[in-house]
Amino acid sequence: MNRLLVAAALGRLTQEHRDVLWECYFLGSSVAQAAHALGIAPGTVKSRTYYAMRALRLAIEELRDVE
Amino acid sequence: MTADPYARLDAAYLLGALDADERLAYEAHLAICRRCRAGLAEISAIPSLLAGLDE
Repeated sequence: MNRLLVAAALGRLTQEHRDVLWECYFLGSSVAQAAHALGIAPGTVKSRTYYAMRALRLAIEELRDVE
Repeated sequence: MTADPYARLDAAYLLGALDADERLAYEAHLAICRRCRAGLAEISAIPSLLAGLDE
């Protein structure tokens, strides 16, 4: 998998989706820590990561199809 | 449409963001819920793709 493609796919996400992935993946935050850092409810962290991961998967697939 | 309270937990689980109690409950649920297993499988490749960004 092309690293640039994954980076480009991240760039297609909304800021909210990037932020929650940054917290939970790149910073390794727990749901509670991410909720505190982002000022949202823990339940929102869970649902937002759910939608962010699917948006990222879709963006990767779309960019891969273009290549 | 689903009322499954576990159905939106796959990403937080995969990212290791759930606390221990919730992680264990989710794993127990996975064993009995085909739909949640399928949901998890949809995104299971993503963390390794993100890991490639750190290389």
